[in-house]
Amino acid sequence: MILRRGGPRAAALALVALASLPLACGGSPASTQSAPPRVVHDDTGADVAIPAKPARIAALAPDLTEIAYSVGAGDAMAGACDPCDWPEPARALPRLGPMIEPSVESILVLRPDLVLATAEGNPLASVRRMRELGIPVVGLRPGRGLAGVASMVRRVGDLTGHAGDGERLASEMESRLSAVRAAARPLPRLKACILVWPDPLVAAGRDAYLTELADAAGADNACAVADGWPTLSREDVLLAQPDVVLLGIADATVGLGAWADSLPAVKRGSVLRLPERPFLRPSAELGRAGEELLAMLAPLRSR
Amino acid sequence: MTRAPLTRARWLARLSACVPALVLALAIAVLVPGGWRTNAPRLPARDAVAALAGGGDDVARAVVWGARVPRAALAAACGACLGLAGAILQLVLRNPLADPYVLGVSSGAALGAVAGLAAGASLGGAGHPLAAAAGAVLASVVVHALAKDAQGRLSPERLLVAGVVLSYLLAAGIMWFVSLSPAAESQRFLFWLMGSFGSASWPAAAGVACTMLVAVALLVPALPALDLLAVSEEHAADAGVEVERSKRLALGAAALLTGGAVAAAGSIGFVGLVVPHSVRLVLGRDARLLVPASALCGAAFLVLADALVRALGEIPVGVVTATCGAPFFLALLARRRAP
Repeated sequence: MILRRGGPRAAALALVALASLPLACGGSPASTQSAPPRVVHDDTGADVAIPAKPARIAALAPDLTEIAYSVGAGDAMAGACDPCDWPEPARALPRLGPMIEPSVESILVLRPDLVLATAEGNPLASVRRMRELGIPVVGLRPGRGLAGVASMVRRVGDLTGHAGDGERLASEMESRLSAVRAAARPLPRLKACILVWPDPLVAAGRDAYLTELADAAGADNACAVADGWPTLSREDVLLAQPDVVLLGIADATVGLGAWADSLPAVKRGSVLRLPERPFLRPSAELGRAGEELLAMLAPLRSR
Repeated sequence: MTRAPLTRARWLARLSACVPALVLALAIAVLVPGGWRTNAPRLPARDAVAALAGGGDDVARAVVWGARVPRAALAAACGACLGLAGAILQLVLRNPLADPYVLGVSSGAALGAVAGLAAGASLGGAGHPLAAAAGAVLASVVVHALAKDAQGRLSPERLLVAGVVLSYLLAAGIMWFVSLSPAAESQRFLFWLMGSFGSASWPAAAGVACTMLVAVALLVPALPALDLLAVSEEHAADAGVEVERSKRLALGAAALLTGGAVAAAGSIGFVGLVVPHSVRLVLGRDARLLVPASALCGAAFLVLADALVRALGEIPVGVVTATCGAPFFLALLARRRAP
């Protein structure tokens, strides 16, 4: 939601626009590839010139970092945002600042030939400022649900010059999820609440990929009162009377609290923690996540 | 109220004592690399010096002239605006707790900005600073209308109360937006509210500087009057000051300064409160010195704070201004007990 917003704070105040200093900034980023560069149209509406096979990639969001590695662009990764900590080799990359305020200066020093930015967390103002300084930034707006994740895998594969691997991973994820859906079809449906934060209570909404993942594995999200990640009150959960509570909280020490003890699902022990991997970051790993969720739900159906 | 007369020479000498602070702050901001907490890519100080001198490679020039210098310029302009606004308001309202945010102008700008962010695409890229400026103007008009007493004079008490209460109302509006927005977006709102120079550009810095020039043009004729107004309005009137006109000019300038700074960089707290007080403790309370010195020291303080923001890895600048400014000011307060 963010890339599109904001804007050069300058505009309202620019009573006099200073002549821009002659900055030969960015120059032509060193690319070792001989393939001709291409122009891509990104989700901020900008046309960005990037090499056919970028050699110095910076990713400004954890999911983009993970997907870039998964499609085989790991060798070309040159930098990542502060919280971009997966997979393991990403931890050693130069840090480019928090998602909410990437360091323009650090990115200039890095000289990337492709910067992947997300509309879910990177500010449009920084993206625009980086472009003004000659940095090729491609802004990506994640699509909805599982289809959005698959599409992101394909797009990152294409942008990083690994279109084949992106396509292969995305279709593999889709076929694994289809298999999960087929396996769950004859089973009795479960009523689930998918909660991703306890205080305030935040649930996976109607169009969240976790809701679709649960749906594929045979569980309906009874707490999906809106799109996105809606905030619930405790009584919403108590009234929903879910058969199972899925806790999508990476920190295993964070639980629901005593108020939830009266929930039949909690009494029966039908509270499942979704581990951070493969569940909590949208990537091609969600195919495996669907299979694991199906297996995790199996013993609960007999309760 | 007795006070040693401030000759032109002493005025100039004391004011120019603030200049080295600003120069030092600017030098630190331009030369010191960022991202100390992490293994961020860094430009060595040597390369920054080379780029500053007109040499260096493309990257060094882009970092220094494209990122650091405009950023320091914007921080300096905003710091000067907030320091000025704080000094003026403390003088005119005769209230030591007055700061640029008591008039509701900043909350108006912030609500405008957040509404602009939320309305997004419809307004295009320029939406949010324009919306912030509109919010600042609107809030300022409302507060001024409410602050007139039965005789049509601007009453400092009414101004403060109206400003503070309007701020609460506007802050509630902001929280409506924050709580009804998706997580990523509300995080962006909150971050914006704490202030940032991370995307600074030359036009932004120039815009704030121009806003400041307009405000200064309004202020200069009112400066001797401010000195008298700070004692009492009756005193000023006896001395031949056009009290209402001076107050209107000064408060209009303060609204302009606050709106400009907030629209460009978010609501950065603490500068406008603490800088004028620190200046008063060190240089004395003569308005003719206090007002320009607050601008210079506000600029130096915010430039330095933003250098620290870069060094610490882009934390909100408001966090740094309060963390560093409060202990500094308390120490100053403890050392100087004289009025």
